[in-house]
Amino acid sequence: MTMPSDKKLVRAVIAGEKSAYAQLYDRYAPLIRAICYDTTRNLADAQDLAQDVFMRAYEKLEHLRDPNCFGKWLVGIARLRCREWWRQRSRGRDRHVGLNEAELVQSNLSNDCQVERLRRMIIALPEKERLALHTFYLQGKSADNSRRIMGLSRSGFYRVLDRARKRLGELLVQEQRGL
Amino acid sequence: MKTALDNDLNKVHEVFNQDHKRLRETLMASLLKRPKQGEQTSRAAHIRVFIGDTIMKSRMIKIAAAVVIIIAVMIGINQFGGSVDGTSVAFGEVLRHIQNSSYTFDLATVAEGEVSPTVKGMVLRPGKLRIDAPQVMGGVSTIADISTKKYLLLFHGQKAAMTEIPGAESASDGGSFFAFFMSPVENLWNLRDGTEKSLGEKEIEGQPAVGFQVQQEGKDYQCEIVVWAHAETGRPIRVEITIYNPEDRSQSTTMVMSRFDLDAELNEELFSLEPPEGYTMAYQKTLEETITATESTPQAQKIEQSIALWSEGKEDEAVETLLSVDWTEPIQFSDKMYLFSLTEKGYVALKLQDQQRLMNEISETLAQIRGLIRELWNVARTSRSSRDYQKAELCLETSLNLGKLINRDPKGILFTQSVGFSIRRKSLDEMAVLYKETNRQEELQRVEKEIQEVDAERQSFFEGIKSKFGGQ
Repeated sequence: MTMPSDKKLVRAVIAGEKSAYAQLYDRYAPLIRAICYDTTRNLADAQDLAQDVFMRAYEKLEHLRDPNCFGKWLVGIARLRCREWWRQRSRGRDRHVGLNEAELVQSNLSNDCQVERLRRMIIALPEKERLALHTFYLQGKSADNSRRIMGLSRSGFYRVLDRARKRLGELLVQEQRGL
Repeated sequence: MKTALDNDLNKVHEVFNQDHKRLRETLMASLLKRPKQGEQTSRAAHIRVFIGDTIMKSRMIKIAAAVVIIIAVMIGINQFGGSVDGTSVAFGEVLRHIQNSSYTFDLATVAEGEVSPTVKGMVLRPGKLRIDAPQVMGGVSTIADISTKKYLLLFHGQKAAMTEIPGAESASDGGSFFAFFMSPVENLWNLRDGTEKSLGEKEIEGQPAVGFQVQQEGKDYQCEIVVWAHAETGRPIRVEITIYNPEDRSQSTTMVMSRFDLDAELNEELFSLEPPEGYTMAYQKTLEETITATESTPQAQKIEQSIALWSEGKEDEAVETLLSVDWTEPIQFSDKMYLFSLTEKGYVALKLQDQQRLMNEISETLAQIRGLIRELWNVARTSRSSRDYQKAELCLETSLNLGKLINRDPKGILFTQSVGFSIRRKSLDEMAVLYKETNRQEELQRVEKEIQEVDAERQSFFEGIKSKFGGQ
């Protein structure tokens, strides 16, 4: 059975069919949480922030000019929301003494050391490379979906993805060597 | 080929699916009553994401508006009888059957290709109508007096009743459908000009039928009515009413009446316009009529003060004040602390503008509470990392107690209840981490048990909402 396109779902939502939004949510929520996590470094906050992103998107859906670009548009909202969150957080940073980044990254997540290390390293990657990894691993490893969300050509997307993986590999080797 | 890195990256990303179902439920619940775009711009609007806003007003109004359209059509149908002069004898015969009986029928609505669930209609002579839609929002019934054009809507899931639709006076702005029904009924269904068109004979629902078609056109609407009746008895088999948007005829709504039972015996009590006992009349009272002058108890005052301090940006003072609350003392809030004092029924009874006003206030208070609670969690984490476990525990106990306070009255406003569950759950999660770290097994077990209880309570809460509002 073919999945309804973003365009069809967006149009259905605008026409008042709220259940269509649940399908869009299923499709993109993990990706948006991953993007938010890169900023919040805490899963609970990332989940909250992602909910906020979806609510904003819902309220502005009628302004989306090309419903085919829902994913890309949503990622844009997420990035904007993350910047706002970071600004708010920075203002109150002095209140969070005692929680260093590593602790925050580790909270609520997996106990697998290797996975945790990798998560930390992803956060250290350039934004574009992070996004390439997230879209690829959270969009069914479809280069087509991922490149659309990132607004890249297929080959362009693969270049960014390869770069991200290569950089991660190097970082892992460096860490193992204790550098 | 799968590499070790690939496997690890899969694992890294798996975590973002965590809690997905619950989060989706919360989001969808909040969308049930999404305010109109631009209606709210403050950060209070964003609290709705966190709280899973489930207020009922706009959904009720939407359903009510749809139901009133159906009533108007039915009223129109029942005006057929007086206007048969000049029409063919057979058509008049069909109309007389509709006019002269008490009867039941099934009614389906098709809009933009989507078929709504079939509802049951009943007409009691002289001039009473009832439509039951058990599958809509926990059950909705509409009762109308055709002669006076008065109606009563009953929302059985919420035990709420309505006799008017707030904002209906401006509904004509909403499009041709409303304009259509705002015309005098007699004008809408004036069939005396004999322009009805014969559709010939056809088999309908396994019976030989003759069909007639009537066109209606006004300044803001176009309508087509097709009546199929038994070829021999003249009894109606199917009536199709299609209303078109004159600016775009591809937009239409069709109501199909079928399965007529013209020999039905109907109980007159079903058609009473008085709301049944225990039902709250919606959109009737002002906020001023609802609240009485009461005082908060001292501990409640501390909570109010803490929220006020937080809203003034005095964050440390706000936290310290909240931490000083003695939760063993009685905590009762004044009526003006709506978040804690107002019930869902009280909310439903308020006039629409007061509901909106109140919702803004409550959302604002919830935004303050949310900030305050998050700060408590931050302080707890900081205390934990500096091994001040007592302070960490006090912060988490405080946030848990505040969550419990929000959930204290199960009749409280639905969307605040949702916030209470979230606060309790997260506080308990943090407590579990604390007790694990300090190896306090007994407390850990108590907290884990409580987590299960909160989850069960929350699940039952959301199921209750689904049964009241429908699963959409």
